Amino acid sequence: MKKNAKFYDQRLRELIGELGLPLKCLPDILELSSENCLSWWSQKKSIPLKLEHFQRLESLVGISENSLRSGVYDLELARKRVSDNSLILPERYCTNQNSFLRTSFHIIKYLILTRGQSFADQILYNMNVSPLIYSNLDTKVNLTYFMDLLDTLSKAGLSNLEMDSLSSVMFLSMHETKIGQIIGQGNNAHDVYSLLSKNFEYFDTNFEYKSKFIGNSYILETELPLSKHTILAQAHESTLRLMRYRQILLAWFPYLTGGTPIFPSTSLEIKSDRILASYSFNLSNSIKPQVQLQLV
Amino acid sequence: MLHFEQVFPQQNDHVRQLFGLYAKRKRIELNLSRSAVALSLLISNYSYAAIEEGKYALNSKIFEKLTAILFFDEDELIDLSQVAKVRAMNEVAEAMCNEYPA
Repeated sequence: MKKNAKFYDQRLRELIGELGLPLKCLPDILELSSENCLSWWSQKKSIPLKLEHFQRLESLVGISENSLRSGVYDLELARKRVSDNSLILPERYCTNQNSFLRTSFHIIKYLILTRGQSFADQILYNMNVSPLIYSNLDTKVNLTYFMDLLDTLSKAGLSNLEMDSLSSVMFLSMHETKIGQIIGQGNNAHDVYSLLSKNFEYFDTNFEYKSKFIGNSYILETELPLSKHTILAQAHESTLRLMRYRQILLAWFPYLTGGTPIFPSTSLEIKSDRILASYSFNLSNSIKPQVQLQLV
Repeated sequence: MLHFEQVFPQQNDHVRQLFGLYAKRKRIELNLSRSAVALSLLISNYSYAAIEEGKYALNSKIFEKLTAILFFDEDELIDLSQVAKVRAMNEVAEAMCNEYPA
């Protein structure tokens, strides 16, 4: 048996033991009959194992095959998934779950459109997340999930241009959402940000929001207490990436009323206990509303 | 069947890049090599590589042939054109707005 095949054989046997994988799963991994699988398991039959076998194990367990082969992976999570539910999220995404998975679905759709399902799946496996979680968009996740998703995409080679467009692409389908329907009622940028101010809870519930109009400017101050997001406190570059995503997202709301994005001047402070981000939108080219708007 | 000008009324770098990514995705899903697709299109490997890299000025003839060879989906092409518009708007903002993130 060649060196790789010998290593793969040994490693797969170890993984079956480590994960507590029932032998009835072997046909799905080896793509052989149950009889041949048992012959392999009892070492009566030799099968040249390849990377594809670990890729099948990857889809079963929701953890990247690279991690499984190297032995560096969340064993507890993997065992839970084998015995219980492949949709279990890593512990990292299970605290302060204030966001719905649907708010990242546009990113997955974009990846599928431009790179294919397999690429999108691999991004999620690299986060130790099963792609199947997107079968329920009401699943709750936290800000760390978004941060990790953006980081993983950046490491996967998406250009800065593409990364920037991820927040804007969301608006192509936002009219189908509650916040999109509310803001779509506006006639101009003043209306847009006025409606947003009154409906932040439909946008995001991680940050605290304060806003006001001063002359032709809309001032938005946001604060994120890091006591509830300790992972962000330790990941400066990743946090900057997440905040950049949010900045572009906030600029694009006028698109919902047929307007062009309005990029705010931004002040960002990342302190040890909180993140403070202030945005100032110049609405001087927008017409102020003449009629009081009815909110849905 | 959609015509090229219907889907992409304005061709720019974003259209070419996104189209290239999409063509590459569809080719890989069909397990076809670049040279096989180039041969079907009657163009050089180099030219086909340029299509996938977003560096080839597209035309309706290439578009129609690729659509047939790689089984392009109309809805997906429309989605691509929408994404291209969004990217173009961001690019304009980056060039013209001081406030665009550095």
